Amino acid sequence: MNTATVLAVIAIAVILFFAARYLYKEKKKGNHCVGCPYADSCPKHRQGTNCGH
Amino acid sequence: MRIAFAGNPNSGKTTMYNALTGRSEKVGNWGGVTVGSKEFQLKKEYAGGKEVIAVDLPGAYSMSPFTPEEGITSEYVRTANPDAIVNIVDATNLSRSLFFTTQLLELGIPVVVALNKTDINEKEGTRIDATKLSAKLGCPVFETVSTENKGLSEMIAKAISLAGTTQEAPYLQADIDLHDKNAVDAEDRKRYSFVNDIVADVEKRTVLSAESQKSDKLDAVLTNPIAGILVFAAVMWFVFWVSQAWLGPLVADWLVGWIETFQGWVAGQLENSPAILSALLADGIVGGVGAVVGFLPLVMVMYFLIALLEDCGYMARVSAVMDPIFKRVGLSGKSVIPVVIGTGCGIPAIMACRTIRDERERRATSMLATFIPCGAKIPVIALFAGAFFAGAGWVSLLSYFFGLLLIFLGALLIKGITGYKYRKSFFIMELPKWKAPSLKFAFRSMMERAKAYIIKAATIILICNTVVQIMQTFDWHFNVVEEGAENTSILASIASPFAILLIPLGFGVWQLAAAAITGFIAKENVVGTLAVVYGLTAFIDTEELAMTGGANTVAMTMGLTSVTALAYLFFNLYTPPCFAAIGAMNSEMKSRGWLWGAIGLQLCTGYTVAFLINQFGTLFTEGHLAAGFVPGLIAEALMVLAVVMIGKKVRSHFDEQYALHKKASKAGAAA
Amino acid sequence: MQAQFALWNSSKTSAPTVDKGAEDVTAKRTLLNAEPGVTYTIKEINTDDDEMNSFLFRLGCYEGEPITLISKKRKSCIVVIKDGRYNLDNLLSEAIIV
Repeated sequence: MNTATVLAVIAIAVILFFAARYLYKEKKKGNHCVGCPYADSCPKHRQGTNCGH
Repeated sequence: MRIAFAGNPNSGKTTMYNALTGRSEKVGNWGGVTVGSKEFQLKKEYAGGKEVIAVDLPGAYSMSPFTPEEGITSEYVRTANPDAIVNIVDATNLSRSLFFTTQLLELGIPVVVALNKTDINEKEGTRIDATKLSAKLGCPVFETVSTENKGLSEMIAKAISLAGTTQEAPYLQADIDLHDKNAVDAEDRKRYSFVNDIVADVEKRTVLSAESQKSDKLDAVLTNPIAGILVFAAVMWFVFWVSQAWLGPLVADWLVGWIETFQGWVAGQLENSPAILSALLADGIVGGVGAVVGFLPLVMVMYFLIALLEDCGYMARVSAVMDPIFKRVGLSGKSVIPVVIGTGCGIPAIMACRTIRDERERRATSMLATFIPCGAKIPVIALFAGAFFAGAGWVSLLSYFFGLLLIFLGALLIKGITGYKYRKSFFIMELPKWKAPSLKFAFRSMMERAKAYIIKAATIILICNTVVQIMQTFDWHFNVVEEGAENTSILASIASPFAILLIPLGFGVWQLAAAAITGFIAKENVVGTLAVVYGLTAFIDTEELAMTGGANTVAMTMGLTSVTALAYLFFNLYTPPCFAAIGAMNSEMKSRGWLWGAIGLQLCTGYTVAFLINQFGTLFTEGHLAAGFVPGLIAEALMVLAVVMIGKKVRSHFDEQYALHKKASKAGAAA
Repeated sequence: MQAQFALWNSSKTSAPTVDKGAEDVTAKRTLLNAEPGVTYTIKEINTDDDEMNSFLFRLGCYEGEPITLISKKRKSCIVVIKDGRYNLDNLLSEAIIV
């Protein structure tokens, strides 16, 4: 096993970890659609709050 | 502490909210841009050391809602008990705005009036005596210009200091029976005359609104049924051409060069490592995400141009000129706004349907709006245009105009199924004053969307690509799939059954089926998955290859002809949108039947379009029908049957209602 | 029925010499057959739709208020109500009797 391999494994692990963590955090915030610029106003995850529905 | 922002549509609430909170919520120069409430903390410099939440509300003309989004506002100020209300008043239309103001003043919550757009008044020589107005209304009045941050800090400081106090109303509605329409009418009339008296007292105009102005000549052209539509087509063509055939690709080429260099470097470093690692990192993560990010410039340029369009006041004119056409197919002129917004993202487009008053028109529009290719579909279009059609600009243009055609056809179909309802569909749209679009605002809006796009690529798409990569590397026993036995991979075995259904469409291979399926998570995934399953490392520079002419690697590897490639592209564009957009549709339609109808319609449309293109295209180019014509025809026949059945059911339901109604009225007459 | 002119806008049209309504006293003049450039006083709003009527009311479009026809198209027209410009379709302009 050479250094490049080790680094690659670490890189993949770190990238996936951060991506997954971000997704998890967003889900926890109640945002179902990651990256959606309109997530704040999306009625889908605002059922608990008063938004007129 | 909560401060609500309320006022007439297009008075500048969201612009003020953005300036005070530092957010960049969507703004535009027409009434009804904001369709839901939003809240965020005030910037420190405005909050004065307190915790203040600003709440932006959709525009409303009064406390009695007419369209769904107006209802959000009246319900909020009535039930959510904000600590203070900032009433944004369009100073260029004081006489209309104060009607709502006097209603807000009756709630007992302290109100601060922000006399907005005073810069326009200055230009036109209209004077409003703010001190006098303040005395008459019994609340503080501040002159503001929210686009230039003028007067905002004094205004908001006053609102914060007033929080918790009570408001005296200058005009109180008499105690009347609110169910008695005539009494309510008379009362509203009194309120209006109270407002008219105030306006006569505080406002001095040098230019009368009723006088013909320069902008009227422009409006006359833009709302002319022929010239107006030609101008609209030209404007949209220009937007697509600049973003997808000229400036966008120019920047994209440069960006893609860098991405490829980086990918090559990563692959080089991993030469001596296990192949799976190189595949995961270089092909899956860097290649797959890079393939999507490479198209970012196209998307950004388009967002920028659309933001300019939305900012200048053109949208209301487009809506006016398109109304007769849209009405003919059973939609409303207001359906144009979701369509234009839909070029950016389908979700806000579906939400924008709230400004449409008629329920059937509203549902039909949100059902059809996603036929217009959104920003996430641009990479798919650009990829196929580059690989199969020598980067031709007509492919993307065709995609948009074909989407528009499908909206018309779909609307006719919905009209046919639901039966004609004997309800008048009125159209009224305020034509806002023209305004030079702000480059700064357009730039900000573009960067905001670009950020969201990159985040999406680096999270959802990255993970999807990795999963796809793993699924195609291993079989069900978690052994690495050997070369030549790709069909045994997990991915292949899952996607193959779907691929069979796609044979009549000309692309019945599991790779393409898999890409179409991952597209439901996010449409950019189509590109990412194709990059992964075909191991196409240098993906986008095929554009350049294609431009030099001849066959290229992408076209070769995918084994598609230009006919089947077009069929596959259109299949991906016109099938149901991503799950997020379907979710938005669900919450806007508030009806299971309509939601499933929408999904069914979109599936059938995508299938039918691809089927027709493949079969007839093959017939023209090769002189014979493509494989699977008969099964495909059977599938089409089943779809037609389903539509007829649903239509019959829905209409018989209507007939029943109508018959009952008739009976009841007859009985009434007899009695 | 006596048709009446309220002329706010004297720059566009000269004096209200001809009373259009006088030609056919039985027909109601709606915005549909009104003259561009002229300010009228609204006599009646009748859309057969209470919600629509009250929506128009809130814009300042009700009996006794002035309304100016700015321009006319085959299927729509542009009017000034209070200080705002609006595009109306023919269905709606037919319901505004001036």
